[in-house]
Amino acid sequence: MALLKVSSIQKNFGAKSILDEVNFELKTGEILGVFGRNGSGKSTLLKILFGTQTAQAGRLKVNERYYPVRKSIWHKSRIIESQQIGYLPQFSFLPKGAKVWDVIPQYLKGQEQDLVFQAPRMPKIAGRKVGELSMGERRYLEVLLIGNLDHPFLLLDEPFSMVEPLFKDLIHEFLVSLKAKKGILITDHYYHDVWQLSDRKMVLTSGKLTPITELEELIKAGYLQSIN
Amino acid sequence: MFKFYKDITFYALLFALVSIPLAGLYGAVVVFGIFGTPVGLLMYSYFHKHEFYGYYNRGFSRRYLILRTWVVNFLVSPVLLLLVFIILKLIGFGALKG
Repeated sequence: MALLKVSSIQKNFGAKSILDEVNFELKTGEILGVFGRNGSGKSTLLKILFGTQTAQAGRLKVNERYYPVRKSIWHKSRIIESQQIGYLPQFSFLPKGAKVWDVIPQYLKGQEQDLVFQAPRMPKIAGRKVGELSMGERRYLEVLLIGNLDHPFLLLDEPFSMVEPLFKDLIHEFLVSLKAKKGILITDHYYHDVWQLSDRKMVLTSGKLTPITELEELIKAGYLQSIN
Repeated sequence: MFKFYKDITFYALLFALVSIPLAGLYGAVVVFGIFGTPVGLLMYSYFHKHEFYGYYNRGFSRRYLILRTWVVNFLVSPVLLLLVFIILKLIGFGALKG
């Protein structure tokens, strides 16, 4: 079992504090759902953990190894090179002009490619260009690619956003199957999906990350007006 | 990684090509070797910015990608210079003969 320990993440944009002493733990075999309003700092937190965003303070510990956050753009991102954390950004990152069957071998080698090629619905889209895929197909492909890499931890920023129900279900099933070997942090405004998937839940408000157990707490935190 | 190299070098070559009227053929090769990669990177950051995340997930940092590409292109440029030199000599030789 691997353990990711995040300590004292501090992020300011000018005078505005976005993340204030954020601490949490994530272990392989669990899914952590993070809720928060737009601009609350969810994506910023994920980027800091992945090493593509700088922060004023904080550090990560994966098992017994420490990784300080990048404090300036000139600092080397050790977490990327260590391949301990995979990250699905909000936006599509695959080259639109490339065909799906050309993209898969860039991420996975040998028989590992079959994990994507033979995944449900994939044979139908493998011959198409990434730019021709529907939002759901593209997101599903991205989740499959990142999820099948070797990182013990996975950060998913809005994996369900604009995804049709069919592919949403496929992403759900895939993430549940991944849970056995990975620790997954997921954030999305499709809060029912995140709530259903996650074993633990936290809400990010005023820069603080607080554990929650009941949906009603999302109302108290100002994230929801009511529960549908 | 090779796709990144290919994408950046495409823009680097384009930039070198455009610089021929100002720098001449030899100058364009030097431009390619030294400034091509930074210019290619600027273009890549504009047109393919999000694709960096695919490389990051495979363990390639931006610094690693840029340095590798720049070093390869820098090392390729003397070979290109030699090629240009030989081609120009051959053309000159042909013209004299003709």
